[in-house]
Amino acid sequence: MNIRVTNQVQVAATLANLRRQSSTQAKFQDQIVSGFAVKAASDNPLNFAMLARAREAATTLATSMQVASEASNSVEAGVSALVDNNKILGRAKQLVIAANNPDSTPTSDEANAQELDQLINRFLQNSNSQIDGRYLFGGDNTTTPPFRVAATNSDGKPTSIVYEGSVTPASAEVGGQFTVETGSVGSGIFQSPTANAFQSLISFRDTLRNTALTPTERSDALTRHLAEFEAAESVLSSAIGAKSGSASGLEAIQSRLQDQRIASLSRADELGATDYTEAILRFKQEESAYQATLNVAAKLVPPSLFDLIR
Amino acid sequence: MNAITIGVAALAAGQRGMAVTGQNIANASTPGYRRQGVFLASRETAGEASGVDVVRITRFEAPPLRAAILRGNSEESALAARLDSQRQVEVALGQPPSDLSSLISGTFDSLDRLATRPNDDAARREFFGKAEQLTARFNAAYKDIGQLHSDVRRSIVAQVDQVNGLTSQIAELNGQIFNTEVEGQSANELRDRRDQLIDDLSKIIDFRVIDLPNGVVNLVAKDTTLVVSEVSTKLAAGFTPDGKFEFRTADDNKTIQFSGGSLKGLQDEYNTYLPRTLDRLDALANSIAEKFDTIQATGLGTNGPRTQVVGSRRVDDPAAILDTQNLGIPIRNGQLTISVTDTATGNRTNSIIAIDPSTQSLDDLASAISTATGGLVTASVDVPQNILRIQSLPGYAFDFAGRVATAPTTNSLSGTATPTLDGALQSTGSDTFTFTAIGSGTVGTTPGLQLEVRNSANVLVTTIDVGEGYVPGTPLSLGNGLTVKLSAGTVTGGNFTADATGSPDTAGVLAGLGVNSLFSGTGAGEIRVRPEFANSPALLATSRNGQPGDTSNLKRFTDLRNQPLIGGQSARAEATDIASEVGTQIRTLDDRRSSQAAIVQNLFAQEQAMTGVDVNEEVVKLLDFQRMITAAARYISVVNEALDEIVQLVR
Repeated sequence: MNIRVTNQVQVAATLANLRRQSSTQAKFQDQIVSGFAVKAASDNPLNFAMLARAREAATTLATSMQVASEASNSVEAGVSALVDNNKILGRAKQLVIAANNPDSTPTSDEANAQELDQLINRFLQNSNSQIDGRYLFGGDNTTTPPFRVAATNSDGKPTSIVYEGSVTPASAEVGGQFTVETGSVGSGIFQSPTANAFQSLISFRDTLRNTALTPTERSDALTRHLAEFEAAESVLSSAIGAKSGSASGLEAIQSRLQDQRIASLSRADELGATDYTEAILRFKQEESAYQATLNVAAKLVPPSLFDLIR
Repeated sequence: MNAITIGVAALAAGQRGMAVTGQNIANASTPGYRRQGVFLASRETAGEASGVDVVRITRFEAPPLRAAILRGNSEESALAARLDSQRQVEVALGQPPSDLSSLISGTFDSLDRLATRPNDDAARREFFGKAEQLTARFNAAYKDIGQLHSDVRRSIVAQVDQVNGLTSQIAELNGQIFNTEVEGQSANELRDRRDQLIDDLSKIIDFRVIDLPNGVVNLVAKDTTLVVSEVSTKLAAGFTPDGKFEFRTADDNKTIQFSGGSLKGLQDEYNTYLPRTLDRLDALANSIAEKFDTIQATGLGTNGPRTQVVGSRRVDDPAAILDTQNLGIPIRNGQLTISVTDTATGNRTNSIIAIDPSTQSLDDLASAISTATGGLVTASVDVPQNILRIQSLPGYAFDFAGRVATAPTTNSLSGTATPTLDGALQSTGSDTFTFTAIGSGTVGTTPGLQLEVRNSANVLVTTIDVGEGYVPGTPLSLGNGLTVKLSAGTVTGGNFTADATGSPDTAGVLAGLGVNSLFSGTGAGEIRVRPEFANSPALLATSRNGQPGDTSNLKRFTDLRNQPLIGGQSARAEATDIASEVGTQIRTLDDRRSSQAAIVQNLFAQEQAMTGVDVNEEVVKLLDFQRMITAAARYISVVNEALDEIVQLVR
């Protein structure tokens, strides 16, 4: 410690202390007001990169959750359409059995054929299902109706339905790891080479209206239709299973993404959020020191010896 | 009468002492003032005491401490200059959520959101908005740091003038001090002024002070004298051939290296740190532009192939070879595949153009494109912009997505059925696929009629049924992004081949010239989202096969998020690293500056303990001299009374 302490030294030390204390107070004030302890890299260079990663992860995971949710809606809408088409095939099977009943009459056949016309339309509508304007069964051709009536009979009822979608499925990547099919290739589900559901329904309807068939021919045809519907049901069930699996996978992913997002937010808070207890205590500490420095500065040059001269 | 002389001497000494003390008190807060002390000595005349003399007025000094303070000043000022500059850089780079790292991340997030609705215009606009925010931040950061670079240059020039002014004044004071002191007079005030100037100078440059016995000081920076006696050396700031600031003596053009002072800090910022940050920003912006533009250019928007595209990156001379054009995004040896589609029939042909930037100019490239496409697509150079323009004849459109030609490359298939290909290979390489007929019969009718597909390594890719159950004209997927369909007719044997590529522009020529690109300009200062995207969000190439729901090209965009783009790290990590580097420098500089400031403050306190004015101490001295004068006056009065008594005796 120096024996001689001059005014200049006292003033310089006071100014340096006041500057430092003001700066520190401002820093803690900003932390308290903003809620962020690390706003710029210079606040904590070591944590900044980790904080940036954690914040990015949190926003990216939120986006992934949104994508997963949208994909889930697509998949569930697809499952819903497939399930309804499966019900249609089930009803068609019932109609086959009913038609095979010896008590069936041309009138009942026509009634059943008319119901089949309705079912064919419903099947077509389901196969051309959309969500948010995107067709679900046109592969990656999501803007054109995948199935079109190519030919009709004299009553204007469809006799041929063709697939005009894409043979490449539309898919979405969720969370950078999981790819989910959001646009299925409809021809593979409803018009596969081994099970053409549309053609089977049309063919069955035409059988019911065909009065020229002998009982044996009719019986053979109905047996064939039943087998076709079962094959088509099998394909649809398989597609429903695959889509349901995707839906479950998406649900699990959403849950995992939510957990990861919470963890990232927590990590970001840990790295960059204000510790209010510490910030407020440090702010008060600096405020007290600042007041003390001001008080001491006010008494730095006591005119005591000048008073003695009087 | 000696008694009177003694009293008068005492009065004079007391008055001188009070004057010096008064001067000390008056200058107690004057920067650079050194306290002065009156040294008295008993006077003797012819062996008899004759009063008191003021021997000298001493100016208190502490040369070793002063030298340490000057060194400390230089060090602290260099750090402060750099700290000030780096703090401005940090502000220019922005803070989350508007810093580069956050904006890069936000741009990728907006691309991710397109995954389930790739043809949604609102989602596409969101992406363009984010990309524009990113480029605007690049532009602003580059402009602000560039402006800072210019400001630093002006500061350097101004400080060099300041140095010349200070050394000139110091040299002048050297002369005045010498002349004053050689006449035996005190030059303490002049010395104070010179010390203050030296102190000021030490904050700008570093140097050594050499005290000479005649009161003169010489200043030496490394091996160059700045002030010798009454002569100062003028400094000049100039540039090295590689554009770096350097300092030279104005007279003999000798280079001077400083290791401290604000000038050194500014020089380091100008020559090293600011250019480094600007270079890193440029490299990052170019890297992002190159990758995004390559993907954009080799994909397809919702509206499919284009009828005209205009490059957004110019060359200086369209007739000069491309390698000499200093393109921000370099062009490599490689090839470019252009697909030309007959819009009436949908038939597509591919033309492959060899690119060699060491032999081709922009004019050559334009000619090559026109020639390779048989004139269906013509390329030309817009003058004076010197940018590439490509347009197709009416009835045709073109793209660079690398989709397969609709007709096979070679076709020796027997029968009447004709094959048609479509799609884009979902891999990065190129391959030739051979389709061999298995069986013989009618397409869509004959059971077991198949096409066996093998790649160029003769590995079986897939076998597809085109016999019973197949509807002629229906595309069949190969599972690798390609499809094939057979028309109605017969197949009796033979095969056909198809060339496919997953990398239609291995030369990077589209990104290099900004053809069909997302961004225009190069470098952080110039990169922009092309304005046509704001009006036509459909231009964003999310697809490679042209289907609205295809996200294969979108995936290439989103895959960039974690790909090492620059320096082995992703774009976001690089942006964070740029900010972290600046932040670390600020923290380090701030710590070092604080530490240095504390050292200087401590040295200053020590120096003040020896040379500073303690007002209380001066007041005590003032009282002492007051009593001395009072006593001397009383003494003279007593002597006077004694003399009066003696005079009365004579009367």
